[in-house]
Amino acid sequence: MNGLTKEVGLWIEKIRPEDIEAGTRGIVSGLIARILTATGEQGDDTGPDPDPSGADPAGHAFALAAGLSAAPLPDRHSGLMDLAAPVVGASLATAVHRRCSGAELGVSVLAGCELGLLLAELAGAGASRRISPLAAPAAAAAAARVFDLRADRLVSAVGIGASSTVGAAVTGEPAWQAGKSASNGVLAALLAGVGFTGPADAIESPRGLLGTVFNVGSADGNATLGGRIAAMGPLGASSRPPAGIREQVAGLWELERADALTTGAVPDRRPP
Amino acid sequence: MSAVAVLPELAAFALEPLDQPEHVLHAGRRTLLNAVALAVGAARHPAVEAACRVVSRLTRKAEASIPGRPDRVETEWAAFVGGIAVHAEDYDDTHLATVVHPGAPVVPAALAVAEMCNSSGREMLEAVVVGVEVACRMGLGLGPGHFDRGWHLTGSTGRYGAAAAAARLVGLDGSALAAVWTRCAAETAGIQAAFGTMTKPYHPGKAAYDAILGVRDALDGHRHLPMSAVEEVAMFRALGPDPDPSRVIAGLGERWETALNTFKPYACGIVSHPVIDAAVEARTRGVDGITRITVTVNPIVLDVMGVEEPTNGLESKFSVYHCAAIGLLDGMGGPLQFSDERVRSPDTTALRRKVEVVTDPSLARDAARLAVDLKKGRRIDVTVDHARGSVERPMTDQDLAFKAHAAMQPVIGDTAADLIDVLYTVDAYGARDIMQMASGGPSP
Repeated sequence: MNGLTKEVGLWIEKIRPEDIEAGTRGIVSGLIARILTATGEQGDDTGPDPDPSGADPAGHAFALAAGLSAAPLPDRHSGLMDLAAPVVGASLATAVHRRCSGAELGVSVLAGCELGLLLAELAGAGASRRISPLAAPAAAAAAARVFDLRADRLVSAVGIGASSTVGAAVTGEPAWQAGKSASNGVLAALLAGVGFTGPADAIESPRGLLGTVFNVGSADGNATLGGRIAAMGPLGASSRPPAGIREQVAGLWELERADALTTGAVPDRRPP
Repeated sequence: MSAVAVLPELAAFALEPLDQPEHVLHAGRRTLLNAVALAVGAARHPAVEAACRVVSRLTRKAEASIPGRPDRVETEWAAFVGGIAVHAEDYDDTHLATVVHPGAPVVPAALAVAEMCNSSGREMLEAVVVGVEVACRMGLGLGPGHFDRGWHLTGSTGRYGAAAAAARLVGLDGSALAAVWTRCAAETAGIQAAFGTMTKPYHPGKAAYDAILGVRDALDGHRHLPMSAVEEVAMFRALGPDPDPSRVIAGLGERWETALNTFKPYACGIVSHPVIDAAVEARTRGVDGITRITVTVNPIVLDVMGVEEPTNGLESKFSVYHCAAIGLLDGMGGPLQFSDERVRSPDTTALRRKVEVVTDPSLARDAARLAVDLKKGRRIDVTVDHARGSVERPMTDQDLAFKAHAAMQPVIGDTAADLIDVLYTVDAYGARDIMQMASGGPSP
């Protein structure tokens, strides 16, 4: 039987754009559109200049996520607030780098957000105020999905991301923190893509992300965390994404190239 | 808990003119030599090769060298690869009171920044001494519970040391360094679940990279705020159950943790070193016909070295079973004993399966008892009170030079011997001379 981290890798590897039902597509599209739109409204002077060429996807991810972090998200899922900017930043930067389609971008964002929210759930209610350390592994998963890594390398990317936490001890300036989480996630995926190995039990190990950073399971061996994992349904079965985000980029899944989102080529289809 | 922030005092100490005793400076030279040699030796290690493939795509300037390789990359990326290289074989150094491996994050950061700044060898040496001192003292302040919770201190506290070394070389002021350390706190990272994978050496590499970026951003005016006393206490409490920030500055400038840094004679997790010592000693007494091997160790050994059936070289570095087997079979514990081939060889596999491990909390972490049962009822007992390479039984300068030469010679040939001499007299040279030699260039 695989551990949770390996299950995550297998799950992310097998997600197919065509299998994602319309409601979830709308939520993901809306999330991306919302933060891109809000960033456009507020300007972005929080990081280095974006690199539209995608030559440095880690630096590009930093710039995008730092900018996106300023976007208000009027959703009901508080955990997503700290995850969305790093995940979307990492996904978008790597999707531009890889010249991916909008659908592939959407799957990547879904994978990263789902992993981040799953980790938040496992970390427990006490972690809700400092969910930020989960963003780097979530961004790593998203970027690894864009890079089309096979399951064992997806697992390594998540493991390297889990060793690249930001915000474990103190929180930094929000834009910087989001940017670092995104760039750390992209670096993790790049390394995993060339065979750099990471722990296969980074999530569930007593000396892993949840045990070490969130102190989950340390009081009674690994029983607490093990119980939470056992109580979960199959990955992807629950409906974790937030309600309340309007669908704003109706054409995301049909986009031939995700970089249309960063060049303004996507028509604004928001309802009046 | 202290009502006064300790990091500003530590920052001031890290940047002021130093008045270290000669034995502290010499400890710094040994740390420098050990780390440079391992970085050169690991230049073609798979983890380093993989990291260089990624870095070659991300770097934009040729500022600093990578030991043992012709590559020149941005300063922070040179430190990133260097940190991975120094720690790749788990053969580097250990501050035993904290289990920090300070050379891996600190030396590559100092080398890269010193090369960028064209610093003197003396300036680079002082940066190493300060960086090691800071990394170890942060470990003391976080307390043993920080390690027990699963943090790899080489990643979590190593970044403070790397930042101190870099800040000293570029001439940052104390307030700015304290602000960089706020960023270090926000970037606290490195989980022990990564042991046995390439992500373990990634920890010091990333720590050095992040530290230099923080210092460069501070030079450019992008600064976090130094932590207040309340924020410091919150930071320490978030990272372990038993912190005491006052330990960070206790005896500062009088007691030198740098002088307590030790160097590994074996290429694996430090807590199994007494087991290898005992096995090597038992081997000298004749061990044909082994039927059973009983190892008695401190419980921490099984916590971090409990891999019973390692499948590759990296995993074997965290297997006390493998350590006992190769000590008895080979009488040594260098990188070859922890290679994929040696791990999978039939004789090693068979002997590993005869090892039983018993824990005894009364045994010190650097002690072990070994009992080898042989056919015809013969038995060999060996007790090691302090492992070779510990504070009580340190590697001599000659031991260290031998280790360094063995690591570097296959990569840079005859330059290895010259580089050892240069590093033991580093004060007389420049950082760029040293990096030129470490990259395979001629002696100055």
